[in-house]
Amino acid sequence: MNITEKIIAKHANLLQVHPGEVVEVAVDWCMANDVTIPLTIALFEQEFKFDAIANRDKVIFINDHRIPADDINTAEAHQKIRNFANKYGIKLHERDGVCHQIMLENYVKPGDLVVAADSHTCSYGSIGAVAIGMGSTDITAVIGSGKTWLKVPETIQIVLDGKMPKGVFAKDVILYVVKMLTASGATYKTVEFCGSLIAQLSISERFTLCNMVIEVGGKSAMIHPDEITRQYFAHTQVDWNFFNLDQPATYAQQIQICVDDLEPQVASPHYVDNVKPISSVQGIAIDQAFLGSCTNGRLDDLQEAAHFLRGKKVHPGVRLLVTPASVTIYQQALQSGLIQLFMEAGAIINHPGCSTCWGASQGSLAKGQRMISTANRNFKGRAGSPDSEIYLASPATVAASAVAGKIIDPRGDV
Amino acid sequence: MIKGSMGQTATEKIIAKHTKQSRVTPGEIVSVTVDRVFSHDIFATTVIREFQKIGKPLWRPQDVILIVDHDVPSTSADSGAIYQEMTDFAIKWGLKNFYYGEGVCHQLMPEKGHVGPGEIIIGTDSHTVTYGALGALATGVGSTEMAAIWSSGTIWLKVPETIRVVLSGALQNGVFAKDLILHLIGLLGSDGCTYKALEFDGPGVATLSMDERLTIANMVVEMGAKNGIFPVDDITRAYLSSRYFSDYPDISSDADAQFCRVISLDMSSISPKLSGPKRVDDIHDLQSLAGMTIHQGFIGSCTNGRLEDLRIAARILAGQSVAPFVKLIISPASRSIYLQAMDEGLIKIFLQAGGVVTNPGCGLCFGKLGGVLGAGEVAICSNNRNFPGRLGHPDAHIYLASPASVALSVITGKITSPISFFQGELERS
Repeated sequence: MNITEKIIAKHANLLQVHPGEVVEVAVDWCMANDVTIPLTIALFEQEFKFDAIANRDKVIFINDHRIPADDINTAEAHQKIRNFANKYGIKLHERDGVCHQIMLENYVKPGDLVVAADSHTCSYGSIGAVAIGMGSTDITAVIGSGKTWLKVPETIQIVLDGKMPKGVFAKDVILYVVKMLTASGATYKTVEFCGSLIAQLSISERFTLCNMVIEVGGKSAMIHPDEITRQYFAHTQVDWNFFNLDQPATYAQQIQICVDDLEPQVASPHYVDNVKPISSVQGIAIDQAFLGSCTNGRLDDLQEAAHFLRGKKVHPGVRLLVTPASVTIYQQALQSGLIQLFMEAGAIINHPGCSTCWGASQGSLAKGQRMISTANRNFKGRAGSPDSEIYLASPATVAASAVAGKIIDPRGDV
Repeated sequence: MIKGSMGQTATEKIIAKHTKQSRVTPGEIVSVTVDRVFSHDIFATTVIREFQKIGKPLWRPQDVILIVDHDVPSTSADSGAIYQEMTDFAIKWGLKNFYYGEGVCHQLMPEKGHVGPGEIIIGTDSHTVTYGALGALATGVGSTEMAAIWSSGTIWLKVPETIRVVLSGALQNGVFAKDLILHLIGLLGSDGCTYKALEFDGPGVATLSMDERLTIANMVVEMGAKNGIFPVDDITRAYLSSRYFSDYPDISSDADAQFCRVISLDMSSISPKLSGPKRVDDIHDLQSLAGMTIHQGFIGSCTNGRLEDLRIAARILAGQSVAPFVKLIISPASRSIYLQAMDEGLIKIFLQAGGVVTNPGCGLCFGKLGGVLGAGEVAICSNNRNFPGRLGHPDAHIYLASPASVALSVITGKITSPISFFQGELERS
């Protein structure tokens, strides 16, 4: 068994599981956000006839997509969420940041099995947890019962080797992987990253990698915990011995990638797998730039962007929106002077949340406008008008482009 | 009395200076030249389209200011298109002053040096009256009228009668400019100054900072006033010294100027106030509603989103937490206020207390973004209006109060008087 299978087996209370097998598993964490909770509320009592939460310590609600509320419907949805959370004693985060970042900062630990009503749940593979996005109906069942069923996925192993070139980041690596595998390349499979590059990547960078595994159809992502994971969880009780595999791991497919010659990558409209090297999209004029999201809204992302904005001004024709992924990151960014630096460069700072990434608030695009973004999706209409365009790139490429007014290669500035 | 021999009020003098006449009389209709105008993202595109119908060149591009402050960053593709249309217009006519996300128009106009004493400033927003704090005649008009100004540089005005408010004494600790203006609104009612000028005067004026004067002038329109004007003194001159570089005349009312009404107000007699829940002139002593459960607090807007407001709120919120299930939204009124608040550690205090800090702009006050209320929710807010639906659902209850009252109430989750918090502090000198 590989580590994903071992974690699933443990939660199914079985000695062994095999890809393709359907098993029932106990869940360590079940999370939903303000877009998906209202569906759960509508189902929980009326359809499922539940009158209690299976384990209130394991259910987390997070308002992050439409925060603060931009319209009456949202305000009322938030009200319902508040009342429901209050009634059942569910922990509710109303102002703390993007759900996936909040789960990382507060709850999930290596070896956990997590389900959540959001597709980018796969991010927690970065710390060695099996984390799977699900629909609200399934999540409602989990909230009431504490368990779910799943088909054990096959695993694709991606071996990353080499040394990251200057100006190239985890975002560029994952965009390159998405290009290789395509949007359906890993449907219902686990994507496990390994190789010598991993030891060079922080938890935040690993989170960026795993976050976008859903863009190739992945069921979950996985990075085997190592010394960096242990340091990150130095103050948390974790059974590290569990991660010693007692039998050889098996994989459905193995892909080797060397990053030595990788150049910055950009996903072009309107598909995440429409990835091109920066050299072929350079010079495209932009109206807006977005720095944030669960993919790239962490402190190291803000720091990287700051290199390109220090003492500079955002191009007069461009709006730069900066949304730290959590209040904790916001405070660290305040403390280290980053927010001031962004403000002085002319950026708009939003309160932590999903923000521009999903287009329902904080910086929607008009017809004909073009944005370069650190987020994870560029589907038609994702951030506003269906006639707008979104390019996805690393924080460095986004910040350099915001200053230039057009997409540029950050290595020219490194 | 022979017409022409009596003295004039400050407002009459400013109007006369902008006509070819030596003096004007209340009730008279005159055509005046305008010094500066602005529009924001709610009305700018209407003005642009009406202006294009007139077909003349833009009167003075350097004195036409466009500000994106209401729906920023845009919450819909339509808003994005409005911003685009404003940008295209600004580029076409070479506008020198175009602001996106820099803050609320009524904070930016004075802060960026676009307002001077004795000037006539027109905006397509009712709270343009705010700049009376600097001794300007500033008032709001509709979009069509603004298009005419863009084409001609002039507008006609009916000369308003002036009500004089003589301020004496000083505000007690825990009582703020917001309480003063709410008290006055309670006295006069929402139609108490319809198409009249309000002039603030008396020894109490010197005890009010510029931030406080801006708060007071901001809300005179809630009584229907055409403008609300303060005298120019050392506090005005200090405020202007770093931002407004033209000479300005010393305009004040003559000793024998004619006022249609004189109101004397002892500032020390004013207590903390609440306005609401559905009308601005429904004014209560805050104490009479103390203990009422609230769901949300808001500190921001052109009324009370300035540095002094944030400082007071931070003093109260330092080391405290917003009550469970209560939301606190904070929107600094401008980028420079945000930067200064960050320097002073105020933003950190708000975040640690559990507040949601939004980018500078009209935010929640405009009711279309940044913490909109649901049916039945009760909010205590530092902004200027509480009409049904103003901040979201028509069945939300909105109480207007000072930032100090808002900050204390979100900690307890109930309407809470700031008086005891400030007890024992030194009297204002």
